[in-house]
Amino acid sequence: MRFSLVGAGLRCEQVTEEAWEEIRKRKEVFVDVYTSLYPGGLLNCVKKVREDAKEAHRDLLEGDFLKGRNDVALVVPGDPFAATTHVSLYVEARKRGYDVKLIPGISALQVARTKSGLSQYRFGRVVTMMYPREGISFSESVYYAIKDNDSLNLHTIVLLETGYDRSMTAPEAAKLLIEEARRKGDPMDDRMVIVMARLCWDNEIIEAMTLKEASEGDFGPPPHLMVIPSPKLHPMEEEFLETLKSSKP
Amino acid sequence: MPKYKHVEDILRIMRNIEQVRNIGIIAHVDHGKTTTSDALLAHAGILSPKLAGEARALDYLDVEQQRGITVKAANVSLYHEYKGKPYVINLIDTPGHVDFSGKVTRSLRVLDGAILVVDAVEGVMTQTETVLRQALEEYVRPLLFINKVDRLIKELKLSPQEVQQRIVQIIKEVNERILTFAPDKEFAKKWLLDPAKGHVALGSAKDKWGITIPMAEEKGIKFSYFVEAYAKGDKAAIEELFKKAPLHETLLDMVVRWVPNPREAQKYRVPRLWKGDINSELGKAMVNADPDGPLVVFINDMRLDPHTKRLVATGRVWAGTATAGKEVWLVNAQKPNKILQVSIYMGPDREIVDYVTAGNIVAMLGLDDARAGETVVDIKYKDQAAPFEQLHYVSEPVVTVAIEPKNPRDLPKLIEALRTLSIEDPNLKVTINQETGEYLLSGMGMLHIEIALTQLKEVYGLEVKVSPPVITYRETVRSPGEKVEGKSPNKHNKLYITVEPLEKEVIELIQKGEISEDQDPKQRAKILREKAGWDAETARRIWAIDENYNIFIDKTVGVQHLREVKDTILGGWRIAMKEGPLAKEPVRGVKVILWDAVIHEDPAHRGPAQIYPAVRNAVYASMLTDRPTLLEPLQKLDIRVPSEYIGAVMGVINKHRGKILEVNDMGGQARIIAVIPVAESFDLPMELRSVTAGRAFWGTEFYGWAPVPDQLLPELIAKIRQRKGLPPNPPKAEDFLSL
Ligand SMILES: Nc1nc2c(ncn2[C@@H]2O[C@H](COP(=O)(O)OP(=O)(O)O)[C@@H](O)[C@H]2O)c(=O)[nH]1
Repeated sequence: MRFSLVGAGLRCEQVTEEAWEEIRKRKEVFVDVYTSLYPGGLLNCVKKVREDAKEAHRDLLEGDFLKGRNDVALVVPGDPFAATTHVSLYVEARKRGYDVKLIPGISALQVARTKSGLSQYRFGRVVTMMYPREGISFSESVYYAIKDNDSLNLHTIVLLETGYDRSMTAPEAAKLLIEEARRKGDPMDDRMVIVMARLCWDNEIIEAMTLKEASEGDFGPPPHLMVIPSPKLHPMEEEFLETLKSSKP
Repeated sequence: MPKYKHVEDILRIMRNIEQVRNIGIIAHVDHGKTTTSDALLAHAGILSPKLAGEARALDYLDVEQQRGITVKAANVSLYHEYKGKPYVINLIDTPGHVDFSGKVTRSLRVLDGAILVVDAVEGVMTQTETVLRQALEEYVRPLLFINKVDRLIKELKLSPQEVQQRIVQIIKEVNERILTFAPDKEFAKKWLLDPAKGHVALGSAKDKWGITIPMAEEKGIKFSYFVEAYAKGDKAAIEELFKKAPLHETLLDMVVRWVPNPREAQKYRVPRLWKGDINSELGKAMVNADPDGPLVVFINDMRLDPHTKRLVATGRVWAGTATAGKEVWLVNAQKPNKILQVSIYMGPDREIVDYVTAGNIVAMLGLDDARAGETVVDIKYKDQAAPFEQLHYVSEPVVTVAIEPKNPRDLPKLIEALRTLSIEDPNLKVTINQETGEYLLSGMGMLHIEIALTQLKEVYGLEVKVSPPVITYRETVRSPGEKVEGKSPNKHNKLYITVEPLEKEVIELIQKGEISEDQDPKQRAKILREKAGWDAETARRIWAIDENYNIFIDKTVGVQHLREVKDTILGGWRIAMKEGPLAKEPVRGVKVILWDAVIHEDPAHRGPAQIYPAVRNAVYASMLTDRPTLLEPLQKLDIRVPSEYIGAVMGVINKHRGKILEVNDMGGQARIIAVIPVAESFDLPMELRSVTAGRAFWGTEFYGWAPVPDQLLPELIAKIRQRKGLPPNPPKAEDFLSL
């Protein structure tokens, strides 16, 4: 029994030779279309090699995906373990005695770290900004994660909710965060933020500005994410940040 | 004739609290409450000259001739002169049905005195006793009007002596009940009716006359005079009675003389009825009915003005002065509101005024978040505020019908009417079935629903189609369940939960409003420790209490990120409590305890889509190991019937799984108190009538919940599930554990 968990990076050009090999060889190939956005669509990318690749929706992945499948690949955008469901799938497959092959892919997290120019040694906990739902707001968790990281002088990567029907943009996230910080009596309007839109796509945008400016900006369609540099920066980091600011039109 | 008065004159009287009385008329159905109220309004109602243009006056007469206008107004103010001094007497509407306890108590709360009307032929009946008891419990002083004395002569052909004996007998019966029911011996003695002093009037509301003994002596009217007049059918003599002893004069004299003015009444009523601290500034102002103190108003009536479509809140000012523009705090709703307009009642109409002082009845616009039973206080005194009435009623809506208009075009009218009905009677609930779009009307019993349906027809002129009634059950557990693990779909969040029955004492504490969700946790813990024997740790860790007497307790230690998902966990819990595992009926009386949890560190992986199912699965699984059951609503019946039918009535009760609580045989008239499941009550009126040849009278009341007998349970569950389009068999604990 074989189960391959394949990361497909952020665009079709980033799928590795090793990944293509798994995609070609497995009896069944599924593509996770839930967890992220992909230029041109991940399914189309995989179909270049496997016409018979099928979409795997969330229900399938959170249900018993492995049941009745003994030679299967699941292709996911970015890196397999960037999404939690895949970790539990991996563990489940190992428990059931599958020969599990894990193929890493380039993830937005890694690219964000690289392209921010911030020191790789100084990134703290990652957090996701979610839309409020059922009357419950989740921006407080983001605020706390930033504050925790600040206290250790670490940078924070804020991922933004992505879903079938809507995906959060940086201006929306910046607004939620500004409101939360105001509620906490600790305004963050002037806090520096690096907005990253469509990382590695042809129309990628990476710009540094204040949260307030981010909340009023327009960075095109998602996926977006934000990097909040720590309060104190290394001179090298500061210089790099300046270049991101000047790239503004 | 109605009295034409200027608003300013009425306001001047109102400012003088000694010249104000707040009263109601209470009676067993058909004893003459409406007729008596109409007589008072027709002859003592106040009419504003401003409103009273010619057309308006005609209009007024027209309305006057329609029976029952007094029943439709929240309050009618009357004008009366006694010993040369002017008085404003507020006649406040009290509901005519005993069924719905909250409403009766609420209107009694704004009165200081009540005229108990008793039919001379029928004497003290079930409802007479109930309303009298309720009045006494609210420290409302009762006075008696023995009505329909004409019937004693015309129908029973009694002699003057016999009439007298009958009157004495009725007074004795009423006094016995005052002694029994007055909550305080001091008041029992003081309020005993003494006909020689003029606490009792007798007469005929239909013929609009009434006398008391002192008055009869003063005016030289002898007993034999009216007995003969009726015996002979002498119309002129009866007309003469009206001229010599008009009912409104007699009753209002009696009221002015014997009903305490609002300040006197508040001295003893506030300490006994209000839940707050009597020695606070607010408390003192209320005890003294101080017009310069902080504002406190108790709202006894909310209704939609049919013309302006705005909500009118009517209530009694207990302290301070109500003015437009005042910011107030609604104690039960926990919301600020602003008074936009203040008016007084002129007869049954409202007139805008600048202010209304303590002791008086006020009508206000702007309090749109208030419902009948609300306590309104000056927002500056929010922290001292305590309610007159708790939000939680012991009565719960348990019977539901779906209604639709016969003519589909009437739908908007129906929606509007239902909205109005549910505002006016907070115990009536209107919901929309999201799936079918049907309008659902829920009440506390079939009788309650029927009254609402009658109103739809008579007041709003709506013809509606009504589905067969559906009873709401509750789901609960009978023993502590196993600790189970609830997993989120992504398996990254785990909750360890048990469900246990909530102790009876705790349910009562919630019902009485002694403990609640938004109470100071320390205070709450103290009460739970002292009155329910909870350990301090558990008592302190309550996260939530819902309206169906379910409690969520957090007993975890050091779980990371738990605080950030508290609202989400409670969201899942509330959903699980809304629809239990057996038949998707609301859960009642359980304690859900969270023992431990694993929470993913990123919000993306612990949102409602993940946490809700985790909570629900754990709660359902644990409940299904706790001997779950359904609770059915019970109804109390208070039946009056001639003694020879006792056996027949008991037979009917037994046939319907009923239980007899009490049988009292009082000289030919028996009183039977019984409890039966609401599910068995639908055919009861018909059956009772048929076995007693229509001689039984009864009142009903919500009694509580009891487990459905085990042998009926499976079939009932299957029936409810099928009605809801679910497979007939309920799930098993394993079904939620494997997820
Ligand atoms: N004979 C007689 N009938 C009366 C008298 N007062 C009221 N009634 C009748 O009793 C019935 C019930 O009166 P009503 O005022 O509607 O009673 P309520 O149900 O207490 O409001 C009506 O038919 C009245 O006309 C009275 O003094 N004598």
